[in-house]
Amino acid sequence: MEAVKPRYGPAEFAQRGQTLYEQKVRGHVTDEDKGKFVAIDIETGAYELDSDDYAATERLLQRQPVAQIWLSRVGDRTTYRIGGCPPMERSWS
Amino acid sequence: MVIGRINAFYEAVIPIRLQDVKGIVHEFTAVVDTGFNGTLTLPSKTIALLGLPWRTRGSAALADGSEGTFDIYAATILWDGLPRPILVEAVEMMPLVGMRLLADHDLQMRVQPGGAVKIVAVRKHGESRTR
Repeated sequence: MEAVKPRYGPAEFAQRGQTLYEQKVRGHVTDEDKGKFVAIDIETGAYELDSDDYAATERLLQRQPVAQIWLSRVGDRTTYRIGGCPPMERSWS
Repeated sequence: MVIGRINAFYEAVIPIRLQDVKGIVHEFTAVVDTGFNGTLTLPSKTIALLGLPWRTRGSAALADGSEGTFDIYAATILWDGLPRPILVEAVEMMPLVGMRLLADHDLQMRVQPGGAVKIVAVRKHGESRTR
């Protein structure tokens, strides 16, 4: 696979990714998708949804080998949490 | 099965084995962090040493409530004796093993300095007991 490098700075990358998630993905996910990963190409808006983060990104790269991928997670503000700090608004179950 | 120890700082420390781009296996030490809901973090110098390919960017919330953007790389970890492709977040601290790597495993710890940490794959229904 061709080596892909980030072509945008971190702030623009995140902003494009979050905007595309809101525009193209949020309206199509349900409660059953909660916790799944969304890999979005910030240049084309193409995306893949999977419960496995690696699978989501690899499937999108198979379709678009030079994709600039932003990784989001359904139902959470961030892709990951490091250090155990679920948001106050999230239920504990 | 993975065997580790509780260290003097009450951290659950385990060995992890990762392949570099040439397939050569390197062993590192990682801390099990049940508050991390990803798979693995590595510092960028370790990612460079292994020659891991960049894959994506994502965000993470840290323990103080702040949020940051991180580069994410593809890696192959030897887990349960088998190579397993994973995504690794570049974070400048000691490697952390998160809950996604521990999925479908039992985690047992004797929480005292020197105490054993055991990570054992959960047998799937119908799987041989002699494995």
